Amino acid sequence: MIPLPMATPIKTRTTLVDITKCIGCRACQVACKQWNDRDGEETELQPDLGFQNPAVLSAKTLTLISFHEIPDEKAPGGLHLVNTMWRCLHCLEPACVSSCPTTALVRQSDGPVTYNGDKCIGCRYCMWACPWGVPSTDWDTRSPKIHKCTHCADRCDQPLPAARNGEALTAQESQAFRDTIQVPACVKACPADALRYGDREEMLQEARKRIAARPEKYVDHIYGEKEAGGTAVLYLSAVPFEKLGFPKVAEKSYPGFSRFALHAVPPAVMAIGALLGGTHAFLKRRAVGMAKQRLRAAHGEDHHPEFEPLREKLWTPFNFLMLALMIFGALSFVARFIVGLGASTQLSDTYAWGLWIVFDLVWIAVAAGAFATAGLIYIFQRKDLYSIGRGAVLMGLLSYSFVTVTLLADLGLPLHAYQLALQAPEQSAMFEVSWCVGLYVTILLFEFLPVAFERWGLTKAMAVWRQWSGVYVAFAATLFVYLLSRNLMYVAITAAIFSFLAWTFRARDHHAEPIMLAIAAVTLSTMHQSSLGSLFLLMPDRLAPQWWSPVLPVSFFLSSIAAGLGLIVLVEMWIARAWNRPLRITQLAAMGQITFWSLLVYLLFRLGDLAVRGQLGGAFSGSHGALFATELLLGGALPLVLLARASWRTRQSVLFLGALLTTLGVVFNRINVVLFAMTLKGSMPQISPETYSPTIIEWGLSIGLIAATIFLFGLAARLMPVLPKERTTQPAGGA
Amino acid sequence: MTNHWSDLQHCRTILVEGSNVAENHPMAFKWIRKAQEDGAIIIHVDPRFSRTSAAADIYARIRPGADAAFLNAMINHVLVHKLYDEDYVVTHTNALFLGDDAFDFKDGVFSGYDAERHTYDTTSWGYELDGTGKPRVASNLDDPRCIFARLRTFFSRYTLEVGEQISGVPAAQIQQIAETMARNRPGSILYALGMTQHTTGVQGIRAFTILQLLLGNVGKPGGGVNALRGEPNVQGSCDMGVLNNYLPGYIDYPVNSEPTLAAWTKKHGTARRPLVVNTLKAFYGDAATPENEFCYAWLPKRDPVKDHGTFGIFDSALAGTMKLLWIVGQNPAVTMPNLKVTFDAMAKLELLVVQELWETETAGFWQRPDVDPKSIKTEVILLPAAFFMEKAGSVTNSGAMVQWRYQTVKPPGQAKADGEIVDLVFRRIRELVKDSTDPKDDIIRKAAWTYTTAEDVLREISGRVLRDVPAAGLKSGATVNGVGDLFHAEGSTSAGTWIYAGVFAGGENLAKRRDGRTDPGNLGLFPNFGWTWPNNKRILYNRASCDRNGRPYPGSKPVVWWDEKAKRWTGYDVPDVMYDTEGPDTPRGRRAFHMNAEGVGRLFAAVYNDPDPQHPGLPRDWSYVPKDGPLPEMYEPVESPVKNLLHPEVRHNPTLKYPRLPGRQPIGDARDFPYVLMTSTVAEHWCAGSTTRNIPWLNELVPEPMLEMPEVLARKLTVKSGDVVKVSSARGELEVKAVVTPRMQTIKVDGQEVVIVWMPYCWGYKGLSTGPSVNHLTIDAVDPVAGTQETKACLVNVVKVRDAAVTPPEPRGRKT
Repeated sequence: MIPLPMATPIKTRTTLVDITKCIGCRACQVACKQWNDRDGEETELQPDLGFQNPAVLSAKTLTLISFHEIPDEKAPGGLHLVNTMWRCLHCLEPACVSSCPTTALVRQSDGPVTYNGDKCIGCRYCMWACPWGVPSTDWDTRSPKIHKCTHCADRCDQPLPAARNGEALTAQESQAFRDTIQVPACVKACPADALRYGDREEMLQEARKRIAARPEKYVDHIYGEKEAGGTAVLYLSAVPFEKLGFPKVAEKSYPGFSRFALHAVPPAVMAIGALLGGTHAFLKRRAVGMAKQRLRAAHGEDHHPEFEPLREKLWTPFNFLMLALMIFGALSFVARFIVGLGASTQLSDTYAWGLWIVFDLVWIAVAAGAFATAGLIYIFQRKDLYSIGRGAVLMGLLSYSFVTVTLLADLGLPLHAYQLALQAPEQSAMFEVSWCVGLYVTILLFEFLPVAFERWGLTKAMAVWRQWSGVYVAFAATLFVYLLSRNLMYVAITAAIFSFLAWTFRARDHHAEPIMLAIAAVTLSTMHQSSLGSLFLLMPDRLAPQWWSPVLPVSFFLSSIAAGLGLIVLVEMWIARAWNRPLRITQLAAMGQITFWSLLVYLLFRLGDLAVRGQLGGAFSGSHGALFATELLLGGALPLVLLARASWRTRQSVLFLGALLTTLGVVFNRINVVLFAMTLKGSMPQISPETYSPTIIEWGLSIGLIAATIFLFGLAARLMPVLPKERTTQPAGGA
Repeated sequence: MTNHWSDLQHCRTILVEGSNVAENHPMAFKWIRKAQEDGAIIIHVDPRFSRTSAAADIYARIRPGADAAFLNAMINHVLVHKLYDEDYVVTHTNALFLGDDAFDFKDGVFSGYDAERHTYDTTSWGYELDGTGKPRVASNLDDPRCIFARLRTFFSRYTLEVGEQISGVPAAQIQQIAETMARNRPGSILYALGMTQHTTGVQGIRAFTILQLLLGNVGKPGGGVNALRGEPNVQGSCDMGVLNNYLPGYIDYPVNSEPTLAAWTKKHGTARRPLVVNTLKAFYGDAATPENEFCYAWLPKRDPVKDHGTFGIFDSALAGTMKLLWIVGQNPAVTMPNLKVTFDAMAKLELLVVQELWETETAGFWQRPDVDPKSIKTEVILLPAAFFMEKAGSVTNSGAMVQWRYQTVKPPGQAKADGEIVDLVFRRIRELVKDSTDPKDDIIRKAAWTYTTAEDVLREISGRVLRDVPAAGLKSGATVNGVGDLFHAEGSTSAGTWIYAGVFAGGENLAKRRDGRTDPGNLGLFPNFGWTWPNNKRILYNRASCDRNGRPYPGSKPVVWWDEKAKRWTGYDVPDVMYDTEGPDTPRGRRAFHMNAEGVGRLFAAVYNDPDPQHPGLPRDWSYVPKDGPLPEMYEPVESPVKNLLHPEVRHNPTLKYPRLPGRQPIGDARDFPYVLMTSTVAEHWCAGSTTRNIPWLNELVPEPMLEMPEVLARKLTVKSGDVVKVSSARGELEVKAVVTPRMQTIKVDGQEVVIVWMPYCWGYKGLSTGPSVNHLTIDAVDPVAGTQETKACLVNVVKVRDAAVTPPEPRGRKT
């Protein structure tokens, strides 16, 4: 038997940058462009940066030397003229890799973090995930990709030639090839021995040796040894790293921040599914008993109102306005694809995400009313809210569909979206959100279909729907767990749980309730509402501490319920006013009550979290403090007071204000998280942040889609039985 | 370079003065960093804190043009405190030689000065000779008549305090640098155009030499005086006789008082005559015979009074006495000081031929912004030249290493290698004069011009044996194997450039060798990598690394030595001796500086002809004497804000003739132009920028020129970085953005704060990156010896024009 070769220890290709040795010749900067085939940038003199140019990394500049003039009486000439190299640090546990939903970014087992544009969908999550601001986008192109240093992985992987000029290479020549060709272009170009390349352990040893040999020269810190869990680019310096603009980065690995949250998803799906099923079974049994009593007691309680299409004129001036805005939105959408993402938006390497992401996050939060209502009605058997159900689901369906449209427009490479189905990222909140939202849209569609079937009398379709929706839910849940975990045991358990539930709650008659769809809606929404928060777990350095928290996913989930219910109340009020319909104040007050409790839970959770993290004291100071105070007082405490008392809740104006403030509070929260509470410094070395104000196309698409939601809701309400039938006993406004 | 690039690793100190080696020779830093790692101390002396200063262990800020004062104070400190290497000084320099009593130096002027013609009669600058014409020698350094005593007297004026008063370098720092260099030997001195672009350039380099000879630093690994040449092949071009006063190999070009080879020999010595003969044989082949003095007569003779250098060329064009100018790979429309003169001169030409990669400012001088092209009558022809990768040939680096470069790609379009263009033109001219009977055409008709490849040319440069010389073992038709082969019967060999003799030894192009492994002694000499002139020596004067007994001096790494057993000089390098079998105790075996007539290093550049015992009445060899003095004296730049503290009456170099062109060369006064402007290149753009400004990668790094100024001046002018300022001199003005930086500081000179500003000179109005040429401001006064302009120091005024343009930050990628 042939003995198996000894497993070679995995080495980590590492560059040691000794800043004290750099002479600032910038051969590395040019060599990098040469090897990576990048154009020169058109620059101007950077008045305060000495010879440094350009100011920051970009899609064209993957390596940059910065110049620093630091007065120091002890230095020769009283001045440290320090030049330092900026490029990807190749984390041992890279945030960008963990963020990537399609494994377009991967870490090679021996170190380099590389990028594959064919897999990239252009979500740009990596740009915000990287604590140093390394990944950049080529905004000039119509299908912008991510650009970053690859540690010259392609160069270092060049095969060793067997011969030169027909003569076999000697061992020495082979070594010379390895030493001078199979090294990053910057290392090869450095004439001053400022860059060394080799195994990480050796480089660390070398760095420690240099510090020990000349302690008076070096600061006693190897930047990159521990930062972000360790990087494969290490720095030595004679001046403190902060003075050169190196950010203080936590020693914990960044993926560690979101790992727990994301690994919790598959078990959570199983647990929540099972819990919801159990709750439903329990409550159903109780509800059936109570219903029987109630039937005996007060026959005719309106818990199962009938629905009918709205009889209103469609082409009102308001709807013409909506139509005009929709056309504007459609044109914006087309324009975005004609001129490309970079040219149609004000997005930049600083603001990789802008209005559209705010819009998505806000809309998904406020659209939580759909799952909350469905859950309340079917799982928690709040049949008093039944009349609100269809409207809430339609609202949810439209909202989520248009979020999907916005995401499509926001992707740099939307044609690569199919990669989401092919790739298996280990842990990516973006991946989780994509699938979860996608599956939830189908659930919403399933939930809404009976309305159409009913309208057009499609009994056969209805029968199929009744028979298969449970099966579909089991399939969707299992698929989701599979995609998230790739763990067959998880898959088996999920399949078992959801199949059991589907069988248990299978349709037995024509009045069967869509329990499975409600379970799926709540389960998936719990997952993606919270995972939208998980997206920001990778940004502890950027998001102000009032917002960033390891339990951010939970506050996102809790707040979405409050916001979603608040919006349902508002929509109902609007419907009543717009179409001159009776206001179901009892139901709405009940919604207000649930809103109150969810808001209370959310606020207590948030404040408790802040207190536990010791951030409560300073939470209200500074510019972020003002934002935080506004969000919490106007959007939290005040509506809480307004919605606290049952007698107030039944007053339309108070309920309206309470619901409005609740919803706006959460909207403001999402805007804060995406934009206002973020400290965005742009590309490495994060000295030249760009500004952001959305373009007309960005506004156009978002406003157009809001108009489309309103218009289509009205249209659907006219076409289909979405709204409950008005009671004939109600005094009618007219014939 | 006396040494070579990788030899820098052996230095224990490196004094970098007048060079920004980190930016302009970054590859040198591979070796400088290695030396530093091993404990070497890097000293940078420069008016501007540059990337080299940042890498140095000691940085001294010096006033532009005051190098001689600083260096002389160091020399004085070394002399007074006996920090010199006495054995070396006695063995390898002319310290003990007795000087001519007639020599004198008073009030800034050496004996023999002709104030009217601004020249010296140098006869009093010699030695006291014995009956055989050899210098008399003192028994010890305390003899008051010896050169060493003369040195002591001369430099005694330069106390540390005087050095500080003139140069601005604090006395304590001058002392620190002198003592650092004395205590950490061997050490090297690196310099470049920062030292040479002055009207006193030669003075400064002389001071370097004296200092290094005193410290015993010449000839040793890690020692030497090393000129860092700026152009990849400037060394090779100079070797080939591109300088107007030299034949190939630095043989003095005949002047009109030397109409015959015999007359030339009488002046320059019998030792050098064979070298001229070899060159003439290469030029004229069979036509060159002993009977016709090898066609010596055909060589046009120089008028020594006339300037045939760069400035002479443009001065003649301006005077209308030059009709045609052919410029190859040079961009004077950017690099010449006082550019207006250059432009006016070009406009006076009938025909201007420019051989270039691009349409440079020179080729397009008639298109310059402020001029109506119709007003220029000069016909301009642009010949497209090939880039270095598009042609094969040899390149000689600063360390005199000849390396072959292969053609990588074919030149685009009609572009051709420079050699090919010259060949085409020459053959056409020869065709035109083939039937001429006019004797002046013989030089063309009979030239030995048979090349088909660049390698043919190198073969001829290296040399061939033309007839058998059995005594020397030379066979007709063989290649010459070294300089030694050239000294046999006249006409038996031919070699285009004697110092390159042997680069084709054994018929093999040794410039192609790339053996990076064989390294005897681990000194980084790599004798089989390329080929170094002369005779593949890597360290010149390496005989001086040994004492009078031929044993390597302690303290430096052994490189050559006398092998008593084998009775020959040997070592890791080729021993730099005349005959490697003549021991250290023989007169010739003692001579470490055998290319000097004296055979020793010259602390004092004396006039000396070494008599040839075999040819009575003829010198064997002669020593060259700088025409502005045998010792380095401090003279102020032509435009200086301060007076000459040593001799107020003789403020500038007394041999300087400026202005040369009345009315065109105004001299600015410090009252109108209070600040000192120095210029240089940057790491990212090379020389005129003709090539680099057409490379977007480099334009990205440094997109435009700028004026660097100290914070003191910025405060006074209320200028901040990015503001536009107007810089003016007596010759012109321009607008440029300001950079306010602590790297620039004022310098205190004799109680006066001198403000220094800096601009790079690499810009013009052509190419992808354009910007004002600072040479509109600079002065075209030149060093009387070397003909180098004083672009490192002139006077300017600076005023603010407008604030930095406020451009809102634009998100990336939305360029209009």
